[in-house]
Amino acid sequence: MKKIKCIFSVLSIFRLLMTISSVLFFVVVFFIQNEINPLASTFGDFYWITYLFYLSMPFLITFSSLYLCKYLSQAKINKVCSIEAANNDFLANYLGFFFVALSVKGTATFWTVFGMTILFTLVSRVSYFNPVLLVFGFNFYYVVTGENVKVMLISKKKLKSPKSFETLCVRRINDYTFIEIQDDD
Amino acid sequence: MTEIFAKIKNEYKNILSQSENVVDDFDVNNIDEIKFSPFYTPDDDAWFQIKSFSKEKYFIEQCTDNFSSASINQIDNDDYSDISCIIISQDSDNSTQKKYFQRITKKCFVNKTVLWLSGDPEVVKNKKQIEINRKSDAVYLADTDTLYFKKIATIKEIFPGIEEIDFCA
Repeated sequence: MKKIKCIFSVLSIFRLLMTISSVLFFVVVFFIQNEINPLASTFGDFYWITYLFYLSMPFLITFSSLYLCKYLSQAKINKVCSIEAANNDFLANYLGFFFVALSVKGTATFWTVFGMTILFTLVSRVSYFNPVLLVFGFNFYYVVTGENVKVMLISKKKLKSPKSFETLCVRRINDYTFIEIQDDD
Repeated sequence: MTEIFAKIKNEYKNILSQSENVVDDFDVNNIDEIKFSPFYTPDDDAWFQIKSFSKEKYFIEQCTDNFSSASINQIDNDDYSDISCIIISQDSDNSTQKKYFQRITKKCFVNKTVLWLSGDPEVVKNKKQIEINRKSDAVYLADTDTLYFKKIATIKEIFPGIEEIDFCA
């Protein structure tokens, strides 16, 4: 029972971490644009150190949530009927949010927009997109399995042909999104 | 990798995956294969068989060797009481998978008060659990496309329509 409770809370922390890491860039952009710098007195002219710290947060959080992926349940993808690259679909939506973050004036408006973004991303248990994963070398694909079910697959592999697709052991982020992490055999 | 699926109402859902085997490997060489007849009850080591099972209309896609568990949803906590059967998909020695079917009824839900024996013993009550039988109700071997089973009444919930099977009298 204790083990199950422990895994359950890891799952919830993990989901929250992943959601935060995918929207953290908006906060970073907002802070930098509005020159929010609580450590201004400490660093003085070296304000860019604070900004560098802000910029590194999405990467650090995404990296830790990748580590937590090994607590997710496993699944297998044996056969696919089709493979489609999905990077471009989401990048366009994501860039849209960037412009929203840039044009928001005032902290009240910002936190409202940000809060709603987090809420919608959290409850959307269907798709999951985090551009930092692109930097880490992951690609996003829509694959249709042998049972004609379309799911999103996040993998470092360059997948192109359904015929040469080899069985993948993946982790289930949600019922529609699966990620392939390296230390699985 | 061993995977366990469950049938909840009319849908199959994924329960878990693990590296260790769950049931003993079904060895075709150690059993007697007999053709189905409703007038006969097989002995302990005898199993009815249906060959070319994938061509029958009561074949289910969860039996195929390259069934992807990513195609089905993960089970919710509320679903457990509605489980009607489980499929244990286990690797066998020649690296194809064997599927072990077990019909789940209310009797399989075990609710005993037990004494856990360990360095830190405790009395455990009301742990929600389903007993997994050592001998499954049906086994499907993908490499020979054959289904083995003992009682047709038990498996008709797993393979709807199988009760209409032709038999030699």
